Amino acid sequence: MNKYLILLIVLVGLVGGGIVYRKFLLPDSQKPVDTGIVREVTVKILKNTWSFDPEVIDADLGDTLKMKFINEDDYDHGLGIDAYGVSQRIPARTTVDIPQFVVSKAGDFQFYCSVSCGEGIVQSGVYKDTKRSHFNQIGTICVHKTPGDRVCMNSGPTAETLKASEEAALKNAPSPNAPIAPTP
Amino acid sequence: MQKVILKVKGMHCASCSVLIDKLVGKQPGVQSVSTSYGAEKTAIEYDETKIDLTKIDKFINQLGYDLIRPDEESSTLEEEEAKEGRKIEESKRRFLAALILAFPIVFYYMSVHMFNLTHVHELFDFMNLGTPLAADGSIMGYMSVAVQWIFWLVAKPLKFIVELFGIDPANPPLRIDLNWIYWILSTPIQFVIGYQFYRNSFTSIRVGSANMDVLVALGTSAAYFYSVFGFLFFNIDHPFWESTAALLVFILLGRYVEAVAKGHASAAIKELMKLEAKEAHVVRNGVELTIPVNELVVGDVIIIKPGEKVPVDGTIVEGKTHLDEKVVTGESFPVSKTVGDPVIGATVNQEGLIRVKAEKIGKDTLLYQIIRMVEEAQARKAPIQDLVDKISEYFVPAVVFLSVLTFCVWYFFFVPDQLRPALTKMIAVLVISCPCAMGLATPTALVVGIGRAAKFGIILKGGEALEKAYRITAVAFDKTGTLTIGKPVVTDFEMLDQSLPIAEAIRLAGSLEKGSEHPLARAVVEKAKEGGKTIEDPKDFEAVSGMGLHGKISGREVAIGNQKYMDTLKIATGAHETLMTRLQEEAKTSVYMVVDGKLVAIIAMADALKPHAKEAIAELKRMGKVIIMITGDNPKTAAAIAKQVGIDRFLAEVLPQEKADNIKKLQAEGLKVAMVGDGINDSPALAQSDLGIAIGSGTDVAIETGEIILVKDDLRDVATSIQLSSKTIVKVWQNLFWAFIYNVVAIPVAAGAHLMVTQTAGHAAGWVIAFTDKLGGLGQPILNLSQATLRPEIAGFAMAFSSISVVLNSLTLKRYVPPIEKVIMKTTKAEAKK
Repeated sequence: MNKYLILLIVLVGLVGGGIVYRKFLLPDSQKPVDTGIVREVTVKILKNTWSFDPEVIDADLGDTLKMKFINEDDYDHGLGIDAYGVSQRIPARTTVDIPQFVVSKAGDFQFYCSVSCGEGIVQSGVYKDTKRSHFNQIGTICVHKTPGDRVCMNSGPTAETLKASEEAALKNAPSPNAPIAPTP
Repeated sequence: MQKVILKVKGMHCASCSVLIDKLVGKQPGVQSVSTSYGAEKTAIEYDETKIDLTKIDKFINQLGYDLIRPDEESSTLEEEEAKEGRKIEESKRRFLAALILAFPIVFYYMSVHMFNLTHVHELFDFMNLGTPLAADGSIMGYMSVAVQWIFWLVAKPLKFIVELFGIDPANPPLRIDLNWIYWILSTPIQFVIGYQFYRNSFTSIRVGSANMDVLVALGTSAAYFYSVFGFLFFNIDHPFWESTAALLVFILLGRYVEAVAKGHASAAIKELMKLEAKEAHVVRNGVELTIPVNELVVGDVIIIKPGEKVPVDGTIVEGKTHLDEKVVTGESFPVSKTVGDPVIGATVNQEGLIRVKAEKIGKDTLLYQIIRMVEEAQARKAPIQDLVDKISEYFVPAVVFLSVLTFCVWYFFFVPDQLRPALTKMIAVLVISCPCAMGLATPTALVVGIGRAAKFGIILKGGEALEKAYRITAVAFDKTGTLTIGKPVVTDFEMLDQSLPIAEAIRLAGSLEKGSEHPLARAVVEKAKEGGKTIEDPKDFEAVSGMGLHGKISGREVAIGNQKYMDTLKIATGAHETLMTRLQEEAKTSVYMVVDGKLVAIIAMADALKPHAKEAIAELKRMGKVIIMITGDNPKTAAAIAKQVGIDRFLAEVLPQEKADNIKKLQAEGLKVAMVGDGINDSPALAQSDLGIAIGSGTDVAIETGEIILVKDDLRDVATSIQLSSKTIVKVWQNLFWAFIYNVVAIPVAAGAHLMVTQTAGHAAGWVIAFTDKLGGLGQPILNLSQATLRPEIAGFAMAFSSISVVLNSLTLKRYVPPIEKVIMKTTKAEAKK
């Protein structure tokens, strides 16, 4: 038989299987949540800072994220969020509305500048007098499983915070500052 | 049942031949069909009661190809050659056009990302680029500044032109996104220059197979349309025009190189046709007429003057001459012919005027039989399918499956109900699987290998030759003209009477033989000339036919001749019988030399081995190849030569037309046979063998038929070509490994599969954190990297780098010296010192 025909049948089966799984077989606990809450976030890219402000964005699982990016630089930036397939251009001196999306997966997700934008010494703001570049321009979107939980790491947990959380777990008294411990 | 071998035109890829075979084979009445893409020929066996050629032709026309029926006017040699030239020219133009169009995009994207420059997306912003700042002292810094200067040099004239039109670049009336320009540049590459990939994929899909072109079309189309739609409707940050452009440029380069390297299979037959005599002098009704050869009929009496080619196969009815039969036998001995002797078409009449009765004309002649044999051997050869195409057969469905699987996993499980992430991952998989590096793996290594071979005086006709040389297990040598020089030389000058100095004896012999035109006589003259002595013209010279000659030189009576002649001269030779027998056993022609009535010497002559023939055989034996000698000579001579050169196995008294059959027999033994030969009589054998190696000093036809040509006439190059080929093929495999490993590793990364390891429930996994924490400053970037997925445009970028690594690996072949060449270099150096 023609191998393309076989391939077609397999592919239809694959997609069909996925649809059937989502529609009928998914346990209730894993059904997608849609909280109906629309979270509007405005992120600024200040002139020659190679950073986002704010760098951390919080949301609950099932929220709709409506992001607005203001580029104050004279050169272009971009926005990449791998997990949600966002890759947008933020041209110089413009405000860009990112198409809204539902955060349907919990976890920490990087959002980063996806257009090379050079480097330099920052003149103002939080990063004043440090050398920063395109590669430093990273932020985190924290999507929480339990609504209302507002603990989030800056850009992923560090060994220190992990240790702290482990110690906290040992003491059996969770510290309010402990990160969400990674669950297997 | 009818069997025909016909030319097919219009095939553009290996799949075309498969398509023809598959669909024509299904026609009722067609017994078998085998089409060769390389030779542009098809061999069809059909039942003429059920189907005729016109019908088959019509059917093939429907498929989009053109069958050249025998009754159709075929194109001339010049037209064929011009067509081949145009093909190469076209692929060169395609590559150059793609390069010119792609260069600005590729250069801009590459340098911006390599040096992390600010990426400008707008034409007027580009014009307003500032003067580059001084470099920071690092190499990257300097390179970055250099690149910025290049941008500046493009931007400033543009700015000047725009200002001429009264537009202020600092405050332009409109904004022009540079992506429009990239789009305009890359579209013709994708669809006009790259049209062939779509066409070939379509053909391939029609026959239910998948070749490399399908992957190219799939990958570049995915990238192109993602860029177009993303740019027009979704404000994506990176339309990646440069990836598809760069990819197509690389592949077009590969195609161009392939076209240049491809051997011209049909050239051999053209050369053979040229050998045929064009006109003949024929006696009809007592009148001598000059007519074209195709008007000759069997029974015509043809007059052949000295220097002319024999137009037909026939028998001499009048006259006596010497014919050069090198065309047929490969031996450049003039063969004496007289009434009743057969003559063969295309041999050259050297001396006398002869009349020949035509027995076989036109397509029945031996020359045409040889042409037919070459033709058949070439058409029957299965085209060696590109290895990449073979891999593609499985790779294409696998990639399509993986890309859809990626989509499903992301859409249904990973980030549920989100189309964007699923789509981008799917596209990344399609793009990364594009066989840019795989497509370059073979041609680049082959071309470097072919170039390297040329340095050693070996011409390889195409990559196929290399591939075949690598697989050779046996080497068959033609004797005369290949292992041996092909004309007699004096091998022994045995003095029987020591009172005469040997140098003087040689001089006397040479002077006497000067009077004769016999090839053996010439050998003695050559020997005398080597001595550097003045050779005189003999006085009272007389040649006694079939016996010898005598004359006076410097007042001395000298005679040279065979036993019979000695008997007539009444000179006793009995004492030297043992010596004579030994020489004869060594297959040497020996004569006695008599000076002033006294027997002084025995001169032995034989076809001598070529220099280095022995070393060549020894090296081939060391490489584990089976060596066979094939010759038309008698077993005695064959055995003598075989012993001298160190060959254990030989086939003697093989008629020219039987050589190919003998190769076939060897092949039936399971050997992969390379044939080394030089004569036209070797051509069918060269074509039949798995690898034809022609000696550069040989005939044009042999050179055209052979896939490897040894320009230097040094047999050690047979070993060199095999060694070099093996090395090149190893490179091809290495390249394919690197290209393939790259795909194997990159596809899961593009699909985001690594996140299963580096993330736990959406967070960075504990081990990644622990690991990156130890890396200090490097830790954070690596942590970020481990959490990111491969964006489609990075996939495209990485692909270009894998191509470069493949090309570099191929280039290392430029420094390779085959072991035998090292030996050759040493000996030539030693000889130079002497």
